[in-house]
Amino acid sequence: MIRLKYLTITLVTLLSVGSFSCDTGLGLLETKITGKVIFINSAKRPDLVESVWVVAAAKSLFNNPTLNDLVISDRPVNLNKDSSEYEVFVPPGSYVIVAAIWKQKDKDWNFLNIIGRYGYDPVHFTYFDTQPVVISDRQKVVSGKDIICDWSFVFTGSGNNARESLFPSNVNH
Amino acid sequence: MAILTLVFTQHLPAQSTGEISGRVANRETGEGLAGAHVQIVGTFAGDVCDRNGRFTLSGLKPAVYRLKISFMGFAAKEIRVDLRTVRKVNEKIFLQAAPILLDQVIVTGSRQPEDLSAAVASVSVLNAREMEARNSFRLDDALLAVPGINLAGDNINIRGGSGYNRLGGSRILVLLDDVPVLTSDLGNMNWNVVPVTAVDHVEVLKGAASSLYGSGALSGVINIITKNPNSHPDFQFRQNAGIFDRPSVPRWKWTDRTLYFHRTDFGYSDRFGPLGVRFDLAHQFSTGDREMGRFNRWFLTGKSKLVLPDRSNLTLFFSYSYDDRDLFLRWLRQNNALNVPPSDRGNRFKLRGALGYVVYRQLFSSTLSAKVRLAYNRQLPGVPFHLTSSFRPALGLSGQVQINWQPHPDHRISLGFDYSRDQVAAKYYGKRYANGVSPYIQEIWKVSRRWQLNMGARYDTYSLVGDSVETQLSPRIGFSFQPLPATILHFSFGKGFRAASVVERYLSVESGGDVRVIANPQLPPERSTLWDTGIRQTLGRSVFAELTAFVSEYDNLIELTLSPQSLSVQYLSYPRARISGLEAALRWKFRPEHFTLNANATWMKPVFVGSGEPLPYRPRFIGLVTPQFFFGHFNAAVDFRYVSPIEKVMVYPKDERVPVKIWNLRIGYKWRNLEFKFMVRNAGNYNYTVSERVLGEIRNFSVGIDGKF
Repeated sequence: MIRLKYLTITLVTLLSVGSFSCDTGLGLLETKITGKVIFINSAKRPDLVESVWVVAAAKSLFNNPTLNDLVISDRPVNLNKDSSEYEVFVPPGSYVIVAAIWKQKDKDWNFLNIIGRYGYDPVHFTYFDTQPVVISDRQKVVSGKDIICDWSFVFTGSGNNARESLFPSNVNH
Repeated sequence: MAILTLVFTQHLPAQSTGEISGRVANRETGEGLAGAHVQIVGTFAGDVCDRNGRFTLSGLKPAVYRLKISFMGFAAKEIRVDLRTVRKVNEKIFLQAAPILLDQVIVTGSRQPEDLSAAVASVSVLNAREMEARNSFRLDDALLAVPGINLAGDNINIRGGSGYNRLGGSRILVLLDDVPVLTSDLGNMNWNVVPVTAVDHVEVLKGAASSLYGSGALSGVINIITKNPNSHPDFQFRQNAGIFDRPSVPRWKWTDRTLYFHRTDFGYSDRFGPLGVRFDLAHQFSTGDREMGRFNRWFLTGKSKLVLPDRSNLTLFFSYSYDDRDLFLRWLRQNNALNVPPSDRGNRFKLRGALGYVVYRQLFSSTLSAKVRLAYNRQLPGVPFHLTSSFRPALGLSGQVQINWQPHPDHRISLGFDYSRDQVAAKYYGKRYANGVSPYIQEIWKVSRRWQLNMGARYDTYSLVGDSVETQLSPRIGFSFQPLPATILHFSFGKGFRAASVVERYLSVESGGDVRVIANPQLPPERSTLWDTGIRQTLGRSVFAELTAFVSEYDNLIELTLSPQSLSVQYLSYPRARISGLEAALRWKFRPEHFTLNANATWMKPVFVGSGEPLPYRPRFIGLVTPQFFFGHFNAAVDFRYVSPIEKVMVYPKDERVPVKIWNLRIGYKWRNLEFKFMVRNAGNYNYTVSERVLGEIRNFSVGIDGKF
């Protein structure tokens, strides 16, 4: 009887522990932003560009963002095509900017090296969408956030015109 | 075992001396208690029982002696032995199993043997049986059974003191038989330096302890005590093999191969006259449960103890370890959590570690003894990150002289002097030499039958040749008070510091990949202050409970910090931080032969002082529950471990973070000298991260057999 009693205690403990841990923890991340990265002025692509990545930022890149505010795509954009698909898996939230940034060979990352952003048309220098991209548990995937990247925007330190044209002062970034 | 002052009394001059020998056994089973501690009360003389529970104290003058016999998990006993009329006495001593660990003799809390019950600081002990039962491959994993310990990546945390500082130095000092074994370059621990099976027990001292051990003892000390040679031939083996299950998320499956692991351990011990020897050989292999998860490890350790005729003895220890492993630094993405980015596929790491020490002990009289120690620690990274020939071996040389003096039955004083030298050279931090010189003094004062006072101080001078010199005075005071026979109150105050490691100061990696590392030679040392108070309470013969409140304050915590606007990193000092909390432990033996329940929980509040921001990589709660059931030759146990989600991380703060909810199941069957084991680790196949973007081990099943002959 005593053994049965302790066996029962063990089983009850096991069951309570088991029920407490019945979930499986981390799983697949399903929320993401997708679209295309479209390069223009490919002839102006400088050799110093090592790679291009897509980032989604919860606040302006000019406002001293920390990594807390940024999500970077898992892989770089294919530079051998003028147009390629991208996807950035992001936690639910509001993202004020979805942009493509470039990394210079043998240099540090600089999140202000922006070559294109969603909502901006570099051909006509106009904004067609300035609203944040919102991801929620109800809308897990936001598609069609195409980014047009102009290779002439690659900023090499000799001027600031290209970047200023991407972030005109009359638009809230 | 508690080796500091033991075995002194053997082989003394034969001039009308007597001998007390005997056997210490478990009262319920009759089994000899290997490792039980026998000490002549009021002296430094004593012995440790061999595998059969036998001990010998020889060279004793005719007198009446009081022997204290203690062993972890058993109630201590004192006996009186009269050697006035006879030359030899043989005693049979039986110890009664007890729910408490208080009668264990420890050495870490005061640099000399003392009862765990009287320890003024919080000390936990993990014995070999508990480690073997959990089938841990590595010591740091085995230590998760200790209250207040958790892992953040490879960083072991005592009450959240370490956080996760990647290549930064350890905030816990790790000792092997009292010998510091942190590497000279990283200031970190190679946990593969000895196999778990060569370890007798581990003592964990919680909180700042630089007054005892100097730099590194910022948030605690882990003292790994290896097994001593036996007095009779003794052979042990252990064979274990297992397979990994499929991941609970089907998309994470990354290979069709069967993923498996196995381990083999051999141990042999014998005594040849005055020389006792012990060797351990171990091999571990795993394919890993993930891409770049493979490892292949070899260990060889040897320990010998030579009893010399002039009341002295010599202990030699060496260990060689070879660790060839892949590095899983981060997952490719959460949806491919068992894959690495293509650029990480070649990250392979080889580490060859050699460690040795020699200790000479001399007992001048029953109240005066001395210890001299020399140690050598060489760790050579092989081919990390394809950087062949970029590193020279990190060399650590150290020496110690300590005198233990008992001027009065109520006063025990330890005076000592530590010396250390670090020599490192690598392409990334240059050639560096450092010297450490540290005198210290500790005293245990038995103020009365109920009061014990511990005091001590240590003065460390740490100089980096051609660079800075740092000094630190570390005082310490604490007491324990026994107001009732079953109640012990304790309090301790201590200071800790850790000089920045060579890597933290000088590591410099120019960009060529994604990340640039910037040196910071002016990094000041980290400092800490600990307040710790608690109660140890025994209820009847079946319940032991301990409750401890603690506050640790840290200054200049060094963290690898990512620049917010560019991917460059640098070790920087952070302002004052505080970790306060409560720790509770319960050990309940309903009936020791049928059912036991161990549980512990630690609540912490780790914050930066001022801002109130949470400290990165620290959980708020850690808990472990272990019910264990014994049924004839069978035994079964479950470990359930819960760690609350980390509130703040430094690199990928947007990543989802979940609590740790792991349960491990183990079943054993004993037959003669053999024990058969079946074990399931992470039985719920629960997914969590051990560090950022590194998944914890997935479910695995193993079978094993242990034998002792």
